Amino acid sequence: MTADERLARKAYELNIDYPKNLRALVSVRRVDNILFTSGSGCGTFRQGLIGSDLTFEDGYLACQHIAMIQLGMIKEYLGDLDKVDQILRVYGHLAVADDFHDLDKVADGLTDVMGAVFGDRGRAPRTILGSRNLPVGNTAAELELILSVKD
Amino acid sequence: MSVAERRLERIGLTIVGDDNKIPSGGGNCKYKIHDDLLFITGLEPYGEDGKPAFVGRLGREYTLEEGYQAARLVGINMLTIIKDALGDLDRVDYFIKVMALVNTANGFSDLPEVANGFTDVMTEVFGERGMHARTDLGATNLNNNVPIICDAIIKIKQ
Amino acid sequence: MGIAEQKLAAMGINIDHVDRTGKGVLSFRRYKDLVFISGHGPWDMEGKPLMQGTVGVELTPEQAFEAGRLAAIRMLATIKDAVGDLDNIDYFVKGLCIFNSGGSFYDMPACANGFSNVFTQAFGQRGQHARAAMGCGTHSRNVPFMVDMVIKLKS
Repeated sequence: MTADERLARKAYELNIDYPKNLRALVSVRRVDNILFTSGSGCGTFRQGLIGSDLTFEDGYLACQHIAMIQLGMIKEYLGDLDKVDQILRVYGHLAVADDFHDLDKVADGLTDVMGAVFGDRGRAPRTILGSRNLPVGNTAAELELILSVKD
Repeated sequence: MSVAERRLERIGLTIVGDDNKIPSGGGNCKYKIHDDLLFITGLEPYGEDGKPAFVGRLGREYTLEEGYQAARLVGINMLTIIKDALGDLDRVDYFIKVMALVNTANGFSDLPEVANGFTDVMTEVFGERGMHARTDLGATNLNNNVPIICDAIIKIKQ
Repeated sequence: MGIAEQKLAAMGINIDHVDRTGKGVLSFRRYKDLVFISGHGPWDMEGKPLMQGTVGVELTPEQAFEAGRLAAIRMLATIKDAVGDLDNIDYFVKGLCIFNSGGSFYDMPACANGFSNVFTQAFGQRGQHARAAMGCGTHSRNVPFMVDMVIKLKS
């Protein structure tokens, strides 16, 4: 625990409001040697439904974009991507048209980046859900990770 | 014969392991092991031929009962992957957490009853240890337009 | 049949089968210091929905925010049941916040704060969590919001 965290806990016990305006979210939470990341969308990079407003290519690129964002978050948290042991699980939602069913191939956009960076240790079990609405004016995808880190 | 396989027999199933019959969703990663945790990828209700045996949505192509059967098939598929990953189903300590995604139309909202098809297979085979925390979500679409996908996080015996 | 079962049968004792059909879902499952909480919605203690509908169609973002808060309240009952004393919680780890969304509703992150803020307000920095806030199709019993959580207990 950092000094800042100890201060925050002490303030909590004493009912002092510190830090002020505490945001509910953190990008990454660690438990022992497992990291849970917050979901990342691709923002305005690609918006709309894959299969109608957007092409399959757009969806794939959106997932690649998200892979970069997630790796950036992980690198900032760990300091060094070589500390990553392996990606354990990918979960996410894709904004898709009713008759577009190739969700796994779109999600490959993220898996292919993880594979390029970490090899087989980057390719992970995946669970992907199709939705008609996602945050930020219907960003094309939002994905989150569970990963392990080296001791 | 393992305890789990004796129970499988009682419900009329034999599991011989995946042997690459079950297609994986891209990246070819059906499971991952870390320490004593087994992560299983989201699985579709594949048939013997490696193609989805059910295609369509609850509330449109499929009734609740049919969705339940599709979910059972997902459970059976998962057992083959677990056996492949661990060598022996008795190496399962207990199920921790499952995501059950149900492909819905026309406001179909009996998601737990559909997802129970998956959970019932696990409790039939593993008893109390097959019980799990679960989150059911209604999808507007799923890969291959299947009616249900389930994944799992499982604890392995040391 | 094993020896013990044979002897019991000879004693005229028939062992009944415990049937878990439809009863396999737990409110939570513990793994070491982690507690995995099942999906919860804006329910009362009997599981009856306190709100129903699609955000962006029947429900407004303000109602979605309230649905998040109601789900947090219901989940706290499960959490207390799981950990005994809320002081046993080290910190909150990860939430998955999903709104049944339609029309042009895209503001899931702001509305999910209805859920998340309860934990930061009550637990301070320990209540912060990694989170995904997204949309989906219809939820069970047509509630507008479902959420699951992972929590770390003190060792």
